[in-house]
Amino acid sequence: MRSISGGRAGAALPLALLTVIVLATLASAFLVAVTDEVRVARSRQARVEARFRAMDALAGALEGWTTHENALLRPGEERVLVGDTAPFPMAGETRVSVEATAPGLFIIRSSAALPAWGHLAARSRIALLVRGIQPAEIWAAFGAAATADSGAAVHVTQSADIAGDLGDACDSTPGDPFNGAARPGLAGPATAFVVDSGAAITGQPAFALDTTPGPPAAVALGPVDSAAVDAIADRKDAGSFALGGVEDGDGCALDAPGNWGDPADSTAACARYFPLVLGAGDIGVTGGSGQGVIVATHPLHLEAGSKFRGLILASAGLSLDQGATVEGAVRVARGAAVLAGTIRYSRCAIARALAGSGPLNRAFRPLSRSWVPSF
Amino acid sequence: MRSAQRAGSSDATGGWTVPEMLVALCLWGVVVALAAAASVSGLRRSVRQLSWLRLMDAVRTTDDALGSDLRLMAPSRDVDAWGGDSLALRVVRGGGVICRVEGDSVWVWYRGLRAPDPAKDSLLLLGPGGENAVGLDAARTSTDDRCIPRAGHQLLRLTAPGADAGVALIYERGSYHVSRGALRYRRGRSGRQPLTDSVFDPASTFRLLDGSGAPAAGAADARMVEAVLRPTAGPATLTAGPSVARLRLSLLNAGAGP
Repeated sequence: MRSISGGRAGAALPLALLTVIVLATLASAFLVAVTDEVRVARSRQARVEARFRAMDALAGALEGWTTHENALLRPGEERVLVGDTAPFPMAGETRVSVEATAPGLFIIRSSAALPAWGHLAARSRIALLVRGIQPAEIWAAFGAAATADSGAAVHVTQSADIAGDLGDACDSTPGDPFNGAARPGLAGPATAFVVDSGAAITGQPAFALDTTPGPPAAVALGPVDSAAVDAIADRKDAGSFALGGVEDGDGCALDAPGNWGDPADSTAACARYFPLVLGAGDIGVTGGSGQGVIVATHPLHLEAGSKFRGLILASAGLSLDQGATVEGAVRVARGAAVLAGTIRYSRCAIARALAGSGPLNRAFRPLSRSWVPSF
Repeated sequence: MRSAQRAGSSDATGGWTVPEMLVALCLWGVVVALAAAASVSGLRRSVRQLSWLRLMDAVRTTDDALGSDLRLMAPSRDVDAWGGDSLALRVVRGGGVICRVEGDSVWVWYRGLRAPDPAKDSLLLLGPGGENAVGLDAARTSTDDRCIPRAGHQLLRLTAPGADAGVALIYERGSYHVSRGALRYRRGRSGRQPLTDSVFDPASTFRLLDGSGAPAAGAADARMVEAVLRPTAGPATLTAGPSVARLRLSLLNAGAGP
């Protein structure tokens, strides 16, 4: 009896123990593998969350972007746009900064860090290059991309007064290729200019064909060409009209015909209205005053008595009668420009027109790639 | 009596021993069979699980490696060739903001995966007027008080024709391949170095897709890269998981610039 009962007990117990050990080992291995997988999955989830937080912060910074606010950054100088520390449960840090890399080219860096819960911590950094339009890019009173050889020319029919500099002190923009010195009156290839006998160009500097920073790039403002303007313009005008600020009960009547702001009266409701105007057809300005940025893809004619402060980009011909005045700058390409009036380079007028323009004050996609490594 | 009792007792003991033994053996057999089945099944599951984890690890590594290099590329300019099991491209290895320009020299606050190597690297200059790829003639560390100091960066003086203000990216030519079962990276004309374990089938492919998910007609139309990773036949393919891993990486700079 003892030997039989002892034999049964001795066989069952080791067997049971062996089975338990094997199963426990397998269960442990499985548990370790599953735990590792969960840890890896949580780590990846944290990284993705950090990346989306960084992108979200960057999108927010872009939404509130104004080139004007960042225009005074020197290349290499950095400005913090967002520096948040979120409380629990959205704990983490977000930081967005902007750095000027070249005139008109900024790099926005965004980083997000999640706190180390357990062994988990995640950080994500992203960087985006954006293009902003700065006054320093407009560096001559009159720039011509046209040439006489190509059948388009700047034709001076009478005495045109084209002054390189009004001497106003608005410009402290870094990256100024002239480093504060007087701008040239005219810029472009010499063959572009045809002066009739008896006509003359006056002004200081009178006729400075200075192409130091390169010829003006047609009528585009960096990445903003006429096609882009078509999408973002404040107003599209055509026809013949006189300029003047128009007010209604709510303030400046933005859609009123001929309302290109009011540069004459700084207390008027339209004094701060600097529209981006697309010339959707032939435009004839019969008189009055306006301000802003005009992109004319059809002929533009400023008659005597017309006064404009800001920037004119004309790609299909420009006529400036004697007695018409532009304070700011003019660029032409394609189509003849017939000049008899006055163009005076004004740093203040250009700076105010760009700073006051909502559509042009935003961040644009650069001509190169936008997303770059966050070095 | 004693003999009768002995005889009775002996009969009773002898009569139950065999059934008891049989029952015990049967139970033992059942237990052993269950334990063996559980052990074999468990081992098999463990092998499959480990194999699956190895595959997933390779997929994750592929995602990380391709993601970091591909997401920021502009396909029209950065992709040299694609198709089948390979993808040749321009791979950025570092860069920085240019702080000073003088002739053909630029001073750059550099940070990257490695130091620039003029023998193998080129320079991509991003400026307000667009981007320009130029050769890198020289790269050496420098000091210059005119550059605003920057923590964690190294000031390099790079010599390259046509340099201008903006951002400088250091890049190399490289290609990704799925060969001999692993994702491999080939820098220039050097050998193909494995980045993952050998778990992928040679039928794995890279494709460029347009915005609708269809194969792109050309690199300029590409909006994402798809890596179709097929596991080699083995334990991992016996699991209930998907038989193909598809990684779709959006190209953030697709359609950028002229």
